[in-house]
Amino acid sequence: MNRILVCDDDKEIVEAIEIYLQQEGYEILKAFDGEEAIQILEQGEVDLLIIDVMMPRLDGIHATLKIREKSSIPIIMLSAKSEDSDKILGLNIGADDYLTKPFNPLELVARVKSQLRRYTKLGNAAESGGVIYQSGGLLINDDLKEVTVDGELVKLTPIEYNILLLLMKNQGKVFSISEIYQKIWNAEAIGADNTVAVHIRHIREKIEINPKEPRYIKVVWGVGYKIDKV
Amino acid sequence: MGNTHYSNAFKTVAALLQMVFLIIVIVVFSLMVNLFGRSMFTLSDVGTDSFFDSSYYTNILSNELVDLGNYLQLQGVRERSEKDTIKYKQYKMQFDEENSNLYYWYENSGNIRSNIEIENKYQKKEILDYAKSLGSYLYYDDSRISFEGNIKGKSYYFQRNILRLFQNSGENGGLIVAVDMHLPKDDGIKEAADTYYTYFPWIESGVFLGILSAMCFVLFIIYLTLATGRNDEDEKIRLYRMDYLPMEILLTVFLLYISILFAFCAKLGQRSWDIASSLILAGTLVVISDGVLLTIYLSLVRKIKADIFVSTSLLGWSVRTVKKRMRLQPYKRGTVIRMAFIIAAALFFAGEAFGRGQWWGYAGLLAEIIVAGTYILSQENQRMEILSGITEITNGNMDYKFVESDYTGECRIMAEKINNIGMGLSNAVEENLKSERLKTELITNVSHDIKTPLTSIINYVNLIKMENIQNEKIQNYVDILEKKSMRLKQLTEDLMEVSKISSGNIELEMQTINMVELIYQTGGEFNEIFEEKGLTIITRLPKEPVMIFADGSRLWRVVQNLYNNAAKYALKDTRVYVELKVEEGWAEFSMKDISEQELETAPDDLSERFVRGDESRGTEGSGLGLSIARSLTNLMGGTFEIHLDGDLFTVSIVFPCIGL
Repeated sequence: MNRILVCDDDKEIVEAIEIYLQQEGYEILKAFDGEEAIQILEQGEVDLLIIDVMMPRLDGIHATLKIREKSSIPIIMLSAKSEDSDKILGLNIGADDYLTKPFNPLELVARVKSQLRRYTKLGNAAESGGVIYQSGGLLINDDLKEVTVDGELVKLTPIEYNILLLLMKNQGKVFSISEIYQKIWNAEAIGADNTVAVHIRHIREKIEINPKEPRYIKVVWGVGYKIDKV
Repeated sequence: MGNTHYSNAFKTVAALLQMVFLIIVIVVFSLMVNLFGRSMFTLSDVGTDSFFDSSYYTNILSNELVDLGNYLQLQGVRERSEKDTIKYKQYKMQFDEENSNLYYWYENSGNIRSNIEIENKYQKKEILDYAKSLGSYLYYDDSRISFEGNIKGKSYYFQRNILRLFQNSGENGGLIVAVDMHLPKDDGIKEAADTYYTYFPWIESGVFLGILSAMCFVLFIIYLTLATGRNDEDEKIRLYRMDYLPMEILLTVFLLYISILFAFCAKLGQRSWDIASSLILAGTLVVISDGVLLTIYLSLVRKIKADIFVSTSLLGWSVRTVKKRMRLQPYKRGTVIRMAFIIAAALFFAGEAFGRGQWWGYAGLLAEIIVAGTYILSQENQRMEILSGITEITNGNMDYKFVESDYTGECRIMAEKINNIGMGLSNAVEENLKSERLKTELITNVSHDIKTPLTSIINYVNLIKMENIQNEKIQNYVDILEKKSMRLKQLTEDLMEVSKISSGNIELEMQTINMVELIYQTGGEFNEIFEEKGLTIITRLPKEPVMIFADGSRLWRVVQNLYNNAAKYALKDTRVYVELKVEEGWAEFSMKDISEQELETAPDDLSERFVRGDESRGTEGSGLGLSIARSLTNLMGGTFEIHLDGDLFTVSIVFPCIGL
């Protein structure tokens, strides 16, 4: 059973998260500010930390910095700050995920699961052998034609698979719709339409927890799509 | 009120009549002048009807007396030249008792000459009585040097003619002249009398007619003066286009015309004209002149009536202009003095140089030209600098400052003032930005504070839903709670975005992007949402990439908002047209859909903050979507337009294309 520490100065939020995660069978520890969270972490085994940014005494950012000095447990940051810069800051100082308030509790649960899977199961994936492409928790085994996200198998159609493979093989490169069309369908994109974009969205819906805020397949608006090297 | 007398018909008739009367006056006048010229008539004759009382008679008699004098003198000369002999014979015939109505009796140094044949023709007294009996007589007594008689207007000329005859007379010298008033004989006097009696009645009625016509003419002119510009309908003065001409021009034309007329008449007078052609000529001249002069006169009258006499005049204009300039810039008086000084100096130098040929006059003039030229150029230069500075400030560089010490004179004052204005402006702008920033900060903080309790609401609503409630009512309530809490979430996020955009608190990552790609990408995101609502997207895009310069994710936000808008508000089971056109270097993206609800809002208001097409409906959406789209588009340098045609809702975004 995984132990999860939930830290927020708002008691009701902590309790709500507790209920959701307990339903999934996790054991919950509670803290109401950064210092308390650090104390609990020092006392015993914790598998994952959910921490709010704005808190009295010690805020989430500084707490995370301190925790990262000793521990590498997955940290999901919660914040009412929805700016890109806030997210980037959080991820840069060591958070593994960033969720803005108000959040969908089910999304939080999914993200917790994903983080825990990566933390516990990752590493053995590479052992299965074959040609493997990886970006974060996303893995493609081209020999087995298998796609896993945080260790969980994802079912894709052949076209979706080919598109994802193309992007995974060329991480960091941006492909335009017509390029993807040419590469996948082996045909000139005559009067291209939404097809490619629809496929991409379908892939996103399958591999992303929140397709609207994709972690893997990024849309470069007006240019194309890409998967970043992680 | 005499209103009804100002109709156009009245005025036309008056104008015609005054002309007729004027012609009569002129004709009468010229006839008079003609008669005066021939001394047939003088003003003092008015009222007399006898030839012998008229000055014409006096004149005729006076001429006769000259002849008589010459005749008497010639009689006393023994040796006469040939020419004098002829004259003498003529006079003898003229004054022969058989031919002449004029009788004379002349005594000088005892010699008596006379054409009077009566018994006692040597008795002066008898003669005098006889003369008196004839009617018109004159008697000069040389011994007493006295005149007597009943001939009117015994002029000095008259007397001198007579006195001439008695240069060395003795005692009892004298002259008696008498005219038989019955004029029994055909001589000059008789002829003159006939002429007089032929013309005189005409002259009298002519004078009467002339005076009457003149009075009528004056009356009509007075009427026209009163009536011009007025109308029966109202009290307004109606003006013609010529009335706006400066009065100086009108007066000049007036005077010029008169002088030309006089010159012309004088020229005509040098030639002799027969009656018919002179009448035609005079008539034509009168008609034209009357027309021209009356027109100008009435125009001047109208000017006075409308009170624009001074204001439209050149004089008034210049006075006004000068006054205005002086009032607007009182400190310009210095300039005036300076100008006066420069001109005076220039005149002085010019006088010395060209008038007296002084070398230093030339030098002074040259020096003045150089100094004045340099001054003007430097001022001009400074003015240009200030102008470019002002342009700079107008273009948004509010921190632009003039270095005041670089300027002199008025330019320096200008520079100082503009610096002050610039400072005020940039302060105001800064103040404004600061308050916008504060507002954004406030909104951001409040949003954060709202989000925390909102998180709990969403979480607990979700928890209630997970409780598997059977009660439909409660299920319904929870659904509403869920919807509203999601809306609240959307609202806070949009609010923050709007405040950030409007305070300019966002950084754009401008890059070259393909509009076609972006529309396909967006289409891919939305196709299922549209399908759910039964909306069909008809996309018409060019095959070639359309490159524009924009922030991709911001533009996506714009297009996303438009698609969202269509998804939310388009009528179910209709088509939505998405089009991208390239025309003359502009890329126009447009989206057309048929609104589900009647749109009662003005198109521009739709993209105002918090305005939705359906203000009564309380569904999802904050009403900020179009406002955000518009603001972002404008920030990226595009234009955003909404057009409503009935239920057809069209939104278009235009960006400049960039070449590939």
